[in-house]
Amino acid sequence: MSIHIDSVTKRFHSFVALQNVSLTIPDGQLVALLGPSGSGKTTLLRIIAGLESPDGGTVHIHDDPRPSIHTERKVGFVFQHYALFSHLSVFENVAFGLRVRPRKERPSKAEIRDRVQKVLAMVHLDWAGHRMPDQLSGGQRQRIALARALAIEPEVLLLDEPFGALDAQVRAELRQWLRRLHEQTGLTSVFVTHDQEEAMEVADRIVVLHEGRIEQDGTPQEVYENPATPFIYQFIGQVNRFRGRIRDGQFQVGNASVSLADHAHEEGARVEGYLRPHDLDLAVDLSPGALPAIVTRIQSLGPLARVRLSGAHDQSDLEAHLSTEELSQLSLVVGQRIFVKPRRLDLFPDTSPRLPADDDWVI
Amino acid sequence: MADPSNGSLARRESPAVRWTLTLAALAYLALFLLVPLASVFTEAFKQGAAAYFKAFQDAETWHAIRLSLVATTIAVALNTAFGLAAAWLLGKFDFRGRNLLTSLIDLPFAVSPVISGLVFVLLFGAQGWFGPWLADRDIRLIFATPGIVLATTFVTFPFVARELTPVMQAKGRDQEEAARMLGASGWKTFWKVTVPSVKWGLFYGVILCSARAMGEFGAVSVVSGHIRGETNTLPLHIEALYNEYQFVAAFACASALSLLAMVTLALKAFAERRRDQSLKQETVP
Repeated sequence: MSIHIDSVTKRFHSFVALQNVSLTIPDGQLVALLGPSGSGKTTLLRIIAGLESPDGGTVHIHDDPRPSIHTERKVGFVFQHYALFSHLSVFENVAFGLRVRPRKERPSKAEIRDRVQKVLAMVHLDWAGHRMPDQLSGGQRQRIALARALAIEPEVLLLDEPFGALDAQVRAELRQWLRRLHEQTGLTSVFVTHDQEEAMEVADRIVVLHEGRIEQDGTPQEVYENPATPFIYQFIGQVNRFRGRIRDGQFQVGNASVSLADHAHEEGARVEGYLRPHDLDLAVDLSPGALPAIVTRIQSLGPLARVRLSGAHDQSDLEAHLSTEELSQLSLVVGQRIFVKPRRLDLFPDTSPRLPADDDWVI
Repeated sequence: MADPSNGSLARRESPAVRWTLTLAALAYLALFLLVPLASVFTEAFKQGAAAYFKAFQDAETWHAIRLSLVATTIAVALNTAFGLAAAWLLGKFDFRGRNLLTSLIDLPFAVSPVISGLVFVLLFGAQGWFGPWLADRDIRLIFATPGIVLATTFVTFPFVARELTPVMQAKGRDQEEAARMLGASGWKTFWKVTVPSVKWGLFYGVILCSARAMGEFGAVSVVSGHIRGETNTLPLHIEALYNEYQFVAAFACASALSLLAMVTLALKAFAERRRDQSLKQETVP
């Protein structure tokens, strides 16, 4: 089942949770709604589920117009805090969706038992049917919540920060497991997360939300490698920032200039350059376009070395990632003055207030 | 002060002070709670067990017991239904007028029971606002069972709602939303998820409400008219017996009420523990 979201807007009193959000999710895709808290990601998920109604716009699952509160449409929903029925056993929790059906559509007792056993086996908890939810660990409870959602044979599966309440190790396990489950079932799935690593690892596609708008929409690779905005640069992965100006078609930072391929910024404009730590080259000797920096910390972990630096012109914190091999060739020591050179760089207008020192470097 | 085993103030006091304080507290408890209770039973059995049980062979006594039970049953049933609905509304939803509704529910706590009894007389009595209208249709509320039920219901109105609202609030809306997502109707969600999740809180509220309803004196006294064998509830009957110097009978009836109170207390303690356990399950994942 595909999901069509068309210019959805939602306000809570004066707070605008979603502004004109449109999104189409094709059948079988596993999509992450990623964003910081207050970005509207959970609101969007709840609107897809029918738990909230939008102030404007529409949500369709497949091509039918949806009813405002969803009863006919089969949507599986997994809550952050499991929301298991604490007075019912694990078996009865999973059977709930089948038992509450109108008599005509309700499966027989034997069918219910088989179906519940089947989904419990899918989440590897077929032994836990007689337990009460409070006798299980957090990870097990979330798997029961998932089994309960799958028992009604949903057309789409929605998960609200499904691993948010679990500790790091269980979270990592469940991520892998969710991915495999998705490959097994092929269900169109949407999950909300504020954890960029989780989104990268699990999803086919990442939709980044910020202040109620879609900031970027693409595969994990696209979002990581080509961040559309400074927000995404900072929210996903690590970033180095250089503040400077456009001079003679070049990006001037302090006394150094970095040549640019093409850009849309006016001559003299204040801009900020963003780049990933692995796009920063280090050199002991000055070369054209290189900026001076002081080594503040060297950390070598397996094949990857992280070098922390302080920009000589403005004391900004920088980080470079390089192979341990490259590191040993450079033979760096803490406190050494070296040169950094961006290999590639994205420029965005610098909107921060101008500091008196800004113009010093230009002269 | 982090380690209570040797740092607490109480343990540093001298034994004399500790014993004095403990004894003072126990004496206070005995004087105000145990002595009156013991005196009720002593007085009731003063002329032996035979006289005690003879007090219950009186038709008027039985009528008073029955009337008390009828009034309690109806009042508790009405207030349970209302309390459940109100607590659900107050505990699960945010709406305009929420504070007003909360204050209204508390109103019977603030008003003296005698005043509430008088209000019903003013409304439904022979000279009251609706008195002539009711008289024309031959309906008697005041000095009759309906008035007693009405007064009892009013006085015990807040108990179930007050007890359940915080429990509903603590449970949150997650489980209801999960039920709806699984295709349950609002009605089924309410009965299969909401009510079971608050059942111990509900039981506790019903117990408190019953205890208060059975013992209600002030409001019922005003609307009942004290017609013996007709509109006397158990507490009113006890007063009547006492005023007629039938001390054994009066205290025998009082002991019956006290026993009911003690059973209620035990049930209450049990319900309280279960309710707290079920709340703990919710908050500690």
